[in-house]
Amino acid sequence: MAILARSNLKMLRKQNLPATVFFAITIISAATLAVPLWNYTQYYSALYNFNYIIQRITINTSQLSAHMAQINFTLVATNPTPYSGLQVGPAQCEIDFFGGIHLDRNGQPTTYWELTKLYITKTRPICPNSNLTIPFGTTINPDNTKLSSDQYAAFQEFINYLTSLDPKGEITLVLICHLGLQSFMVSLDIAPVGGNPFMQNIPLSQSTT
Amino acid sequence: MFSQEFQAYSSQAASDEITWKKPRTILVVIAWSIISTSIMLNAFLSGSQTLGYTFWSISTAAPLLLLFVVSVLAGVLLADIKSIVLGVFEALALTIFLTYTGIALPLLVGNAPSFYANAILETAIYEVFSMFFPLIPFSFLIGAVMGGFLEDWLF
Repeated sequence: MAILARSNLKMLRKQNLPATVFFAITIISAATLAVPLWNYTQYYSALYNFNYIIQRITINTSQLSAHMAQINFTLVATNPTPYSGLQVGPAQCEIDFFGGIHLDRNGQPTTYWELTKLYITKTRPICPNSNLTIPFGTTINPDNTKLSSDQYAAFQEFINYLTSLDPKGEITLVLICHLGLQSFMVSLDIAPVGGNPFMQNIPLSQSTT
Repeated sequence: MFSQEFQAYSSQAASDEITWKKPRTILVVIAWSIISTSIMLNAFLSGSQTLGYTFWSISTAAPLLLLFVVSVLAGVLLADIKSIVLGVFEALALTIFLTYTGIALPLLVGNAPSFYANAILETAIYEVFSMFFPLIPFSFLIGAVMGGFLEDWLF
């Protein structure tokens, strides 16, 4: 009886050893995944919280009579996010795009945009996934931005334009252009509602969150 | 006396085994999926996500090898061929689902901006398929079947 019990115990041990190892590996692997997955999730969350300074913004208004303008601005990202995984330090991004707004046959404002220059002076992969590596980025929440309906329509059209540039989901360009768009909207925001969106009196430096 | 005791013990053991086998199989499949998901998502988050197309590099072969080893271990635990074949499909489906969920997690938990919803979902689908096919199912199946044979040989 004792021999039988011992042999059964031995058998049980043999059978349970792989199971024990397997479930131990399960717990360990789940634990190893927790931190990268958390960072990956927080990376997107951090994109909402971004401080930057528009270091320089110039608008060429020589074609303003044709409702067209050329905008050039330099952004300096400062402390982009409180999330420690995304501390990238100051990064500079110079964006130059040419855009216009005109009325179509029905009198509706129509915009078009063309990105003519994109220059980033400091980049660093901040996401572990190489496909999602971006220099630095932010996005805007249109609900928090005071825009007139025309400006909002222009914003939507600009977003559509950016999306059409990048239908495969290469987020980099879209994010950078969002920065440009955000600074553009800063300039829009100080324009009188209903007035010409391309103001000449743009402050040299602004900060927003 | 000894014979009766042995018969009683054997029937009790067989009954216990039948009762325990189903939940054990389910637990093994779930654990197998969790480990595989962890391997795949770690590969994805570390940048070696295109397993299916760039197999012949160390960074991408390592997850594949790990998945194979885990499948062998799962095959040892599942033991019989029916459980193994069914378990492979179940574990693979669950792993794909969990991996997709993991990649789309920023969106699911509301951390990703709505602008990127489509981009993230499309990226998740693309990445999952490029990671899993065509090599991973073979790794699962061959590993688990080898584990089944190993179980017969060892125990």
